Amino acid sequence: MTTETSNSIDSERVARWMPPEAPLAMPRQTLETETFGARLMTRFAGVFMIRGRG
Amino acid sequence: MALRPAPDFATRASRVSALTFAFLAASLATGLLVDAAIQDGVDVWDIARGVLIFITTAWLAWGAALAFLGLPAGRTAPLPDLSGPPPPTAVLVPICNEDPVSTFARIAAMDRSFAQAGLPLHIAVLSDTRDEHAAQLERITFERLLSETNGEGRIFYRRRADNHGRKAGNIEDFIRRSGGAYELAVILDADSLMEGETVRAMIARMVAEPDIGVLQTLPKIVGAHSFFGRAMQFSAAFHSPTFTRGLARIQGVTGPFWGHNAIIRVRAFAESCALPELRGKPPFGGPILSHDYVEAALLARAGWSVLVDDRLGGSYEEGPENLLSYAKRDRRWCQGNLQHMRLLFAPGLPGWSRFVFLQGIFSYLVSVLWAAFLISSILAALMAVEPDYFPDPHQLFPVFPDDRTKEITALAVGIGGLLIVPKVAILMGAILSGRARGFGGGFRAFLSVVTEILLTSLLAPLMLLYQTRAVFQVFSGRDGGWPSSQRGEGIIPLPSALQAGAWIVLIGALSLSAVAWVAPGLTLWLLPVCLPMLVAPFLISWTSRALSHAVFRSPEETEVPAVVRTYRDIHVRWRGTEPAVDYVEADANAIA
Repeated sequence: MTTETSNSIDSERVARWMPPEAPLAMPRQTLETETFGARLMTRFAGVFMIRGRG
Repeated sequence: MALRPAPDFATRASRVSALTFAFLAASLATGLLVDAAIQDGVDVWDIARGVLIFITTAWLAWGAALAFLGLPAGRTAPLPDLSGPPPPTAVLVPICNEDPVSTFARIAAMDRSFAQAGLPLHIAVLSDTRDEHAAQLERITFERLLSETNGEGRIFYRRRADNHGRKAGNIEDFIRRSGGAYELAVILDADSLMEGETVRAMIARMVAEPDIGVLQTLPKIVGAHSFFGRAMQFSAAFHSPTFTRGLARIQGVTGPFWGHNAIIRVRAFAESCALPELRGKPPFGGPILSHDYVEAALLARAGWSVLVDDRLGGSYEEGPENLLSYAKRDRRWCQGNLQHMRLLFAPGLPGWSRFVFLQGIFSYLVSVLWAAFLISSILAALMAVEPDYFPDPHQLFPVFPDDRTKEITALAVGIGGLLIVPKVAILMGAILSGRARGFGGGFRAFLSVVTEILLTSLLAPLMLLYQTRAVFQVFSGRDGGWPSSQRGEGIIPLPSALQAGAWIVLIGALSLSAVAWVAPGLTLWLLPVCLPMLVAPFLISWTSRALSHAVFRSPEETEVPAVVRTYRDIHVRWRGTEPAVDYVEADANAIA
């Protein structure tokens, strides 16, 4: 992810507009499992989908 | 956080009473219908209608229960105030192809309001704008914002090279890069406006209650011009506080979070809310679209409280000005909510969070179920056997079937009552408490409520069709994407409305003709549904036009909030005009 620069506003100035660097970890969450219920809902959604239009 | 906060007694009691009310109302409606339907014997259509009326009535009763739960006044305890300097707090404004003048004028107004409230906040504009020309305009306008506010070093702008994960990904990107610098973050939309004093009260509560992960406000709609927009604005100001209070009582510490005009605890959000992409392709796979509900569920899963505080005023947004814009936004929300089907069994979520997902899914499926109910009622009338007036070959006098018109009328009145009684109760409460004064007094509030009920009744069949179409589009695999809102759109000329609403007219005409031909007895019953469909283009066009302020007056019109006034002044200075509806021809294909 980088800041875009433009012709009329120099990149140095745009870089000064960036929020402060202070990284914070964000662990990716788990929302899908292989439980019967999850498989059922995935299948349920898929059953109704008409293929080829997505 | 480790322990998940358990719902307290009041929350549990609210849930049980609302569920009981919905169950009893649905059972009564089903009983009335079945009693009338089985006069000529039981067939498959009677069973279908019984099931459908149970589900749809339960849904309506659930909405009514939220209003009834919200009727008693809330806590009168004052909000806490900050005793010292606020913790490091950022105000995040994610934008994507927005009008930069309006967006940055709002930021300038809020910046001034924050300063007046003694809040040294940072503001970060998080751009996901893809169009180069629009991005260039953003940079130019941002320069003006910086120079007018002397904001260098505290007002920031960054633009992502790709908009992966859309708004949720945009916020996530900020937290990953800069989240360590802040304890709290106010999340806004491009059309949000918040008073400094409101943000100060939110920060104070977050400081006082360290178990809160998200504190949500109820944004009021401001700046509406059209009949449709002002009806929504009135409804948000007049009815929504009561519904929101009911929602707060029933959800307890598990929501709601609407994704903007809210404050988050950055550490809680970082620990809990990095959303995964769902396996498979959109509309059911890919990035999670209605991310706010999921984030609320994830925070609750991690043990954080997610609260809405209906006492907080000073929180504003804008709304759609016409039915087409509303339907377009609804299409996005429909896809996002139906995608939650994939998450109903996500590991570790509180039961109520799953129920909230289910509610969101049902809020769209219910339109399909109402349509199915209407269709099955017509089919049941078609299949009905002729009454046998002489069941006994030796009887002298005919036996007439029992007349069940009374039961069906009671059912119709009851269903209408579930929609209207909560609004009438809110009106009575507003008159008795003096709240109606802000809406032009009791009589004007009464006129506004009646007009709003008539308008929503007229538009309900159209919304039913739009939502039904949206559900079928999603289930047929059509990804509507998540296009940015077109704010400030206005009048829809009749030719455009004719083009956009022709399919609704066609369905209305075919339905009414078919019923008049095969089951003329039902024609009268179907008129309230089919007539608005027949005049759909006129309704779409007419409701997009400006309206006199005789009805739908709101407190924010009578006394314009300071931050809104400041925003309008800045807008006039920057652009030369008040922020107003652009009278442009709507794109009839915009919600295809």
